[in-house]
Amino acid sequence: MNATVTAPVRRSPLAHRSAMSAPDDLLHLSERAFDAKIVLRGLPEVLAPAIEKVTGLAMPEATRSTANDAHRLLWQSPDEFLLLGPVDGEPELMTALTAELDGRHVQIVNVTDYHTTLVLSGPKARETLMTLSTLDLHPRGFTVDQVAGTTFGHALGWLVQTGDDAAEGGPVFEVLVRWSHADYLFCELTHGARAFGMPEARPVSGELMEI
Amino acid sequence: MSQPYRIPGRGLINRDRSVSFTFDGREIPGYEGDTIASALLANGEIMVGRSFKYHRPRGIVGAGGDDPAAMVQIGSDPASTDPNVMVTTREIHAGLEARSQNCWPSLKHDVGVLNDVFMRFFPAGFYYKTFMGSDRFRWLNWMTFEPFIRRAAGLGKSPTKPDPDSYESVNRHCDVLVIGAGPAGLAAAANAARSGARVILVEETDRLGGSLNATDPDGTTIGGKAPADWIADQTAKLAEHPEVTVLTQTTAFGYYAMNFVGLIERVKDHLPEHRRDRRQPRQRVWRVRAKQVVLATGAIERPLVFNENDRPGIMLAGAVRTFLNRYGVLAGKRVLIFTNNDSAWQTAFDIRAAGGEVAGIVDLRRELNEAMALRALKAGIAVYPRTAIVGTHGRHRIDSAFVSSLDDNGNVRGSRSRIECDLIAVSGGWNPNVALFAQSRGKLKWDEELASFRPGLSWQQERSAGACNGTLELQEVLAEGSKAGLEAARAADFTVRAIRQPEVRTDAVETLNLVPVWQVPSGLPREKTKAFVDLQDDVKASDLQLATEEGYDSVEHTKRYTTQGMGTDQGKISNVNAFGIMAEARGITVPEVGTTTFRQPYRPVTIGALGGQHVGAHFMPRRGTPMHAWHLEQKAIFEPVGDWLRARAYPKPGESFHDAVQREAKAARTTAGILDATTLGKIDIRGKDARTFLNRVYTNAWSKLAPGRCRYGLMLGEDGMVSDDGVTACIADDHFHMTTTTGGAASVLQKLEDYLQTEWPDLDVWLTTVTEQWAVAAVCGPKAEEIVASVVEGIDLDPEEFPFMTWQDGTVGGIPVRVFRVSFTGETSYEINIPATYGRWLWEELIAAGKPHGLTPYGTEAMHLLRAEKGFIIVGQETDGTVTPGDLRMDWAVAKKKGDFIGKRSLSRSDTVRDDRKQLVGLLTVDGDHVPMEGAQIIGTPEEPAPPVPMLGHVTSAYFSPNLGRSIAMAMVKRGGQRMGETVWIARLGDKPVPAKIVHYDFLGDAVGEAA
Repeated sequence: MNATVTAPVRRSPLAHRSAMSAPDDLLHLSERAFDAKIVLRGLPEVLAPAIEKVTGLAMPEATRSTANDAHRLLWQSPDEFLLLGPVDGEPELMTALTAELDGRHVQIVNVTDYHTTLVLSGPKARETLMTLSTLDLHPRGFTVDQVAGTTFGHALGWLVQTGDDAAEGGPVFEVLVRWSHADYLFCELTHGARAFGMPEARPVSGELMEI
Repeated sequence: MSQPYRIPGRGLINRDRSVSFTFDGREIPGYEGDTIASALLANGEIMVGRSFKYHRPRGIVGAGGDDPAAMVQIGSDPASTDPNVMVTTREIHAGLEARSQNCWPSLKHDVGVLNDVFMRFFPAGFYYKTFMGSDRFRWLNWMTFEPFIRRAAGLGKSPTKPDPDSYESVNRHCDVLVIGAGPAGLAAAANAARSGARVILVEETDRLGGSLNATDPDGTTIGGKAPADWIADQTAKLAEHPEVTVLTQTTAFGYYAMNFVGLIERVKDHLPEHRRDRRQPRQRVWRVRAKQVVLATGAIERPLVFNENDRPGIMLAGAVRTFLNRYGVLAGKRVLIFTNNDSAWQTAFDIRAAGGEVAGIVDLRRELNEAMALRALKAGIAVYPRTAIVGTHGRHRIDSAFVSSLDDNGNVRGSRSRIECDLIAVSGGWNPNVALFAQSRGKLKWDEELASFRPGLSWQQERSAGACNGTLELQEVLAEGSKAGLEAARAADFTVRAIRQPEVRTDAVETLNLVPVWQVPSGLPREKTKAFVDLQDDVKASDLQLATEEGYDSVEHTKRYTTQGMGTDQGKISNVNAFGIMAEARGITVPEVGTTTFRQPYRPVTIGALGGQHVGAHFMPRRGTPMHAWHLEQKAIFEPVGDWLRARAYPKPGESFHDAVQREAKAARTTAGILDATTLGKIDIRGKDARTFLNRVYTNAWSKLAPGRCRYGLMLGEDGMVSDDGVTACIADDHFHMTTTTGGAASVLQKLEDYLQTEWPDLDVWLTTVTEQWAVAAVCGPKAEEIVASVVEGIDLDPEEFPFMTWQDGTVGGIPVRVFRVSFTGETSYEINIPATYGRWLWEELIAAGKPHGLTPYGTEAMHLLRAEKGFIIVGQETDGTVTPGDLRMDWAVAKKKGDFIGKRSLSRSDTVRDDRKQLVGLLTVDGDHVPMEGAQIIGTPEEPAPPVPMLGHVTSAYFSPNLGRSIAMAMVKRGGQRMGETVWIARLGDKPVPAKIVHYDFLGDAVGEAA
């Protein structure tokens, strides 16, 4: 066999977009591509020792996440967790977790390419998200490390607050969104932030539908 | 211009800023803060339109959102023109263009007025009786007449071009939502705000204060302050609290379940063009979820129903007061008051205080408040107790009223006398504005003193305060508002202490002493009395009485028969009067009549605002695969599949769609084809009971499928009908990779997770979707092996070594891939799965590698054609939810000996085992060039017999096959499996049926040869 392929090119769902900002640092929106993402299904008490050993993270309470410098663990349901890790970290994480949990009733699935991460930060981040989500996103209603799976307009996503409101740069939110919904959501967020001076990104379109 | 009806020194308008606009092309001067209504009235214009049915002149009746019929068309741009805008709620600005509507050729010379002349012949239900029920018109039908009737009876004109404005909807949660910023609402919001609760205060008009803005500023103090100062104080206090949001120009239009309230904010409508911020939407819908709601929506005055009560110049007494005190306009030079209660007397006093002339107070009551009568006497106002207005005069504006005194039975006694006046200020009492309360499912109760409905039992977390609760004295209103605000904050888990209430001093009339008179006698026979109840829909008291007599006596039936309350105003001022008249007609009480249902929206809401930002490019996500941009670059034709957009075909320049599909399908069998198969649903299945699980969800057996192998499976519903299909691969003994149809991905996962959690919690199985983890390129055809071999490493691709229905791991450029030897075309095929972020790269590598071999990208249309040639079904095309595996003649896919599976029991029902069910077969038309129409009916005779035609079945798929050089079709035919070789006929609309032979549906097998 003579493979004659060129060097692999990895493209994120929003490779065609660049980071966008509203004036006066009111809002910043960007994609953080290629984070390692692993779904872990199993009872928390079964998963906990392995996760702690591999990542150093404790299991999160319902609707919360735990995090350290390299990893974040999101609660998704009573027996479902999403582990985020460094770029290109998924093979090692898969191997280590699989070894630790060998023979246990768990599922470990690499979903690194399933989602991408939108990072939304700044004092107007909450109001921008409120144009698309029905959740209570007031600082009293949604706090650092909180997690919610919800719809943003017509797109499903996982929302997690990673940066405090009081910290410089305002609150930071991350939205994990499917590959195929990423462009839609990116553009909807810029659209929702027009009032803050955000330039508008128009969704990719132009598909011919007529025969 | 002089604005001759303006009163110096009165009103909250900004007299330093003149603003003019146009009405029917004429320039109308006003001031900043005017509504269209107040500016028109300041210039003596009171007639603004014509009524819906009789085209009778209609004037301004209310001063706010209660006005029934004074509507105009704003703007003339066919895209942005705005019909049915209430003149009482739209602020004027430079450049505003208003036009009267529902009249032609002009407001004061209208052709439709002929309807008015023939009014006697147009009673309730006239159109339906005449055109739907009458023998005389049986030869015509309603459909013939409807367009003409609709054109004659219209409102404003809808825009004809796409809306150029943008809209937005936003979501908010709050602890206390206060609706209405009158005295009660302000007190409630201020008290709730002190607790630190998140408070949203909503005000429909452009300024806070509500009824306080309509009171004589010299007659009332609150805590020693003039009303305007008290309002300013409250506003300033609210501004100190960071968690308080105050929304003016905002209407709460709907109260839904679980304290969900819809608000519509008019962001830019009231601004001149140059002040409209392009970044802001025209209107914004706020979707508010409130822990507690305080309703402070005030009361709506109701008119009296008397003969000729619909002429321009007849206005609600409270509205006259509002125009005077809020807008500095006294709408008439000589005002006659007509009332059955005390409150309208205040209008007379305010007019006198402002230096206006009062023609008299005509009061239906015999017993009058002595102090009030004395005050009238001192003010030089003539009082006519126990007297009624029995008629009016004046075409486009009244010039006089006719009054008669009443006897002890309330009948007209003696002769009519004439009183000259150019405005009649009417009051029939006050209806608490309970619309939102009723929408929230709160139960109304009848209040004898108000002779109206007020809030009774609450259903949701809300409380009513102030006039909407039937409380009219200002001191009480403030107390009730404060209490509601405190209680709401506490109910939302906040702590707050009460503070001392400000003392109210007022000389305003705050008593009511109402004597209900639902219809004022006219002394004329019923058919000669034009006593209007609903001014927008032209419903007269006699229409309601006629409806009752004809048997439409339930309140909901009367409403529909007469159209009472069915206009854009939803009967705000007229419904209670209508209920009273119905009660009298039926000889029962008003609470026994009950009310019609209060429905959302409270006021009309622009459809665009409800759509919000989800329009145009943002209407729906355009779900595309990692290879989507490549398909776009190739100028592919796309089609929606599930919620994806998939490439349907790739026509070359100048090539037709049909030719492209034929070329692509031919290449896939003769050289090689490549398909973007990313959208197939994919589910990772893990656990020691995974095989048991698969045995239960698929119809065939999974116990012995070895790792490395794949199997096709059919999934049924509990009803035994095919619901999905796909190939599942065994990764390890406890690990499987399932694929589903593109459209079924989400629903299959949901169904399987549901079964695991609720039906089979004993099974150790986990499921996770991996649909978008993988990009999938399917390469098939004689050259496929060679092409794939030049790209994929680590796998011997020789079909002998890598047989059909197996899978192997390999790499491409060092990136791990999983290759499945499965096929939806019947050709040798390799489905390469790669992590999605490498999808575009892999695709381009394959395209490059395939170029020398004639590799042709094919779309979903060629895919459908190719699978039909091989006789593979598509769930949703061959099946429609009524098709069993046996009907598909796929019994081979149903295991007889394994245990239970979803739908198994249903396969032995008498209906599913009967032998005359429709079955899937192939069809070859005798004329091979003829492609039947999908969905065409199949019959058993060469000619179509007279109806009812016995149907044998229908065509499910039909194509022209380039590989067979003829048409092929699949069809569901009764007893199809037993009819091989028989000829049937495919019916055509307006043409002779086409003969076709029934064959097995694997057209690449023997079917075509055998049929020849």
